[in-house]
Amino acid sequence: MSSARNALRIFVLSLMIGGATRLVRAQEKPSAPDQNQSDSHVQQATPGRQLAHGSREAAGEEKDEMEQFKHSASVGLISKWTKLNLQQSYWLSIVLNFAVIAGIIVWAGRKYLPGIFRDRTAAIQKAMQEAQKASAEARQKLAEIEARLQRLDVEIGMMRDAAEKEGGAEEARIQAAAQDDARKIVASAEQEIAAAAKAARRQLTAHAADLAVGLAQKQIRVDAATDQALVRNFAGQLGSATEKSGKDGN
Amino acid sequence: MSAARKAARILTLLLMISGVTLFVRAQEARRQAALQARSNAVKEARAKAQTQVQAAKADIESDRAAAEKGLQGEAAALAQEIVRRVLQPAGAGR
Repeated sequence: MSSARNALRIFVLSLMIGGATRLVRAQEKPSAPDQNQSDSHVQQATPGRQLAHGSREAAGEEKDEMEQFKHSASVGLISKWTKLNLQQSYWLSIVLNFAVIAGIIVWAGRKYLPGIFRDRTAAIQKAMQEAQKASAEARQKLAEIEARLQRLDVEIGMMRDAAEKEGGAEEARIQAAAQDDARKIVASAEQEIAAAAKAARRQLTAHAADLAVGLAQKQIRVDAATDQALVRNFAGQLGSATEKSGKDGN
Repeated sequence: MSAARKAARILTLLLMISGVTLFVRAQEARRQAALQARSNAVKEARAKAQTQVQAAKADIESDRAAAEKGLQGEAAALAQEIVRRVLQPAGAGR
């Protein structure tokens, strides 16, 4: 598609360049000889006169150009071939020239334009299909959003219920933890009281023993005979205990 | 969908969101209140236990003092028993 379009553009450009070249050449030829004269005239004349002079010159140039074409060699050759006069040959050349250019344009148009139009149509159809696809996707997304919006109140209700349940459970957990803490505090207090009672009981026992031993120390009176009897008894007990342990060892 | 329906839906959505926000705030407030209640309950239980422990210790101390007084009488009999046991091997009890 791009190569055909480029070829058409190059062709049109070449035609325009060719026409412009011909026009410039035609304008340059008649104006060259009397350039100095016209320059001196232009320098002396007023702007209105300059304009009138310019238009007259342009008409004269066109007339000269047409005369030049009419009396050109190619027109003469056509006149000779066709046996027509010069004016008729000139118009025949014009018609032939037009026909050739029109034929080239028609040929190029027939050759390249259908492809260009076909490509353009395909591109437009593709763009339309893409647009339809995008539109369908947008409609689908919109429908999904609509459905989600419709379900949103239900989802919010479910979220609210779940949050309420979680809140209740959290509250119950906190209460249970508080009760547990209170139970631990009570148990600790009971242990502390039990320890204090045990210590008091121990102190009381020690106090009772000290008191009894003190009183006993005050009451005991040991004379020499009692002391000897006690020593004898202790030695006897010690000897019997040694004999018993020796027998057990053997 | 018309613009009025869209606006109504958006308004409903905003109301729902604000309702949910209020609910969440209320739930957070309830949670904070429960935590505060737990803290207060623990503090109260601790103070009560401390008071009970102090009272129990005072009772034990007074019981101990009373028991020491009561031991004065029993200590004499106990001392006699000790003396008898000590001097029994010598055959001379006092």
